[in-house]
Amino acid sequence: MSRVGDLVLEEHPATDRLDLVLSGSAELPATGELLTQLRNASDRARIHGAAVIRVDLTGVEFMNSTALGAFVGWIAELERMRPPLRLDLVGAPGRRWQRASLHSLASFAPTTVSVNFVEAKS
Amino acid sequence: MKRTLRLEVESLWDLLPEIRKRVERHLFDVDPTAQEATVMCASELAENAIKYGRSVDEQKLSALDVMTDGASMTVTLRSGVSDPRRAESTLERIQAIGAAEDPYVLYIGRMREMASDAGAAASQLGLYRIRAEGEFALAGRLVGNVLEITATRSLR
Repeated sequence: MSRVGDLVLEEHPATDRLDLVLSGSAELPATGELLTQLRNASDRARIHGAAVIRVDLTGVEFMNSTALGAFVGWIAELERMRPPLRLDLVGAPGRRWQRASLHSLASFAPTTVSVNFVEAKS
Repeated sequence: MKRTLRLEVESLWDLLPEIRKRVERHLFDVDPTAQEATVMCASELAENAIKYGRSVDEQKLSALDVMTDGASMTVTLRSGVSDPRRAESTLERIQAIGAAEDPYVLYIGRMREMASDAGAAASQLGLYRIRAEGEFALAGRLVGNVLEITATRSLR
């Protein structure tokens, strides 16, 4: 488990996939620290031979545009990887900002990013 | 009925969650989509004030107004400016965002620019987000040493 400000990141390796569960609030003054943590996750995914990273954002209350910028930087790096790593972003339908922001990330990199919505665990 | 919430924005990062809570409570009876969009807009603008606003004689503390009249929502930020060039650059960006035929295409384009220039400082992605995701129209002006940014959206 690691933290970036009020954001908690937990990794769970699964078969052919790395699960990254984020919770808390991603309200960051700069992209650097979160981008480093995300890069670490993709490095570990490659070591495990995973083709997909599933990022569960259902527990994220808010994400500012700086944190979104960190995701943009990370996704751009994933796009350049050979073989490419795909990203499955999972949001909570009740969090309206996620519906908008996760779809924006998918529009930015449609071949790399997919988006799904599931009810948040209580 | 018109009602306004006025918040003074101190340069404290930790106050942003409280600002979001106050705005959310103020808009308790507004359509949830507009409410959440306004919370995001207020948070992004307040963040701008914390990052770039400076205390000046005309504006000691940044001020954030959230006003609704039942038909529209307006969020206004007034913050002191220490670097007029930065303020001018923000105004140019607001103008470009306002002139875009499709704000969403512009927003995704800004993400692409950021991706190709990771070291780019002051991406101001928040302004693009306010326009594209929040569906707010943006306007800005510089009055003396005070930068005023206004975001407006319809509630219908």
